[in-house]
Amino acid sequence: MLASLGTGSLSAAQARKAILSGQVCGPLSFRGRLDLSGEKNFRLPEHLSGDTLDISGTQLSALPEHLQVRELIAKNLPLSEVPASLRVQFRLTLDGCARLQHLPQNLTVGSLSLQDCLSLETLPEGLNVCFLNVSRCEALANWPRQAEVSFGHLLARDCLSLRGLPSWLSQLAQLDLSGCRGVTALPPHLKISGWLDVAGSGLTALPAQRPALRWRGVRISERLAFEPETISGAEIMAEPNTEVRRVMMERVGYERFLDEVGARVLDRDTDAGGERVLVWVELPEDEPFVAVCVSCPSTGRRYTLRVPPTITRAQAASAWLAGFDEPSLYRPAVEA
Amino acid sequence: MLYRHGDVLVQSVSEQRVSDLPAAHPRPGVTLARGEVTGHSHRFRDVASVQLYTVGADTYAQVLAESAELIHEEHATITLPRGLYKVWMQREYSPEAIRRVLD
Repeated sequence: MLASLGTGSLSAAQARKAILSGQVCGPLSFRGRLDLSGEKNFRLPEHLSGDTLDISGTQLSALPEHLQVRELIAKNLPLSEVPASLRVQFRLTLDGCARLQHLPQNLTVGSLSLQDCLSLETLPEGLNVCFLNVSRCEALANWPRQAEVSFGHLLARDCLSLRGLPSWLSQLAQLDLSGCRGVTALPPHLKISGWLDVAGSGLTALPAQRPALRWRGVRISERLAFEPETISGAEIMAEPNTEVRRVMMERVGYERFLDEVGARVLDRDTDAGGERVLVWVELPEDEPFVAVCVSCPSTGRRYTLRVPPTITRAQAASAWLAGFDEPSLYRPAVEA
Repeated sequence: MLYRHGDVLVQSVSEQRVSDLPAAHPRPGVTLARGEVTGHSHRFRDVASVQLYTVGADTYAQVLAESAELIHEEHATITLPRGLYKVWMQREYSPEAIRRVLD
């Protein structure tokens, strides 16, 4: 339960001053939004309570015991765990806590955001939330045996280690599984009242309950999601919606798209994999499609990768893909 | 010196030390990237030869031994000498956003 905010509580400004002066010990109660984000060299007292606390980017490596707030924003902290005595009523945001490995059992909060928590391998037993965001938690592989994520959303974009969803998942408004290649099926009793984002997931057919489909946020048809082989290059060029057209190109594959629509060669040279070709396709009411076609020097496999339309040289395209905006700086000594 | 291992880029920054990097945190494991289609991964062969670090959104690899072998099921092995390396993934252009290439 939250501590009652009685008349003895401080304003957020008073609490901030007291905490940064280092002259405070708990219990301390504050009203409003206490923003300590980016501050260094302070410590939070035990038994701190209040409305909204933001301690993002402060380098705090541990949270105090008996912290009780309505909202806690604790992004990009070197936390490895949070204490079991933590109580957050509405929203707990721990995005970017790359060392976070343990959350307390029976953690209960309205909304829990754990985006980019790269070390998190599992979620706690007894977790109870309405909204859960675990996007880009690349190590997350295990679900608790018993937990509840209900009525809100589950955002699990690019969770590369996930191999499925838990059977206790039964009712969601929105489910984002984009990039979850290892997730090939949904729990049989899961009902999705809003949308399901399937971009790059392992799903190969629409679930029986037939929710609306999205592809990285773009509303798409079942055919585009699961039968891209039936879509032609001509259909892509005729699609009036640029967002849908981009998804169509991605689903059909750039190689087949280029074959079917006839691409113009802008530049051609060689790299460690062999021939490298920069191609260009004019798109109606959209920026041109420019891509570089390369071969992997180890496997010989051919790849077509899209690059910004301002690029005119094949070498500059490879440099851009490698993260170099200045092409002359891209000089790999070894490529494999 | 810049190394390219499939869609993983590794650049020597041996003029720097880990202690020079602000808020560098050790990261468990020796895997740099995993292909979620194949399950294959870009990783170091010997777990004792390398320590990974997270610096904000960046990844660094410290080769602790005389050398360390960067391996993958399909790519030729690259041998990295002792030193500090910055590691990042190739990007791909999308009109909406720049996103990571998924192999």
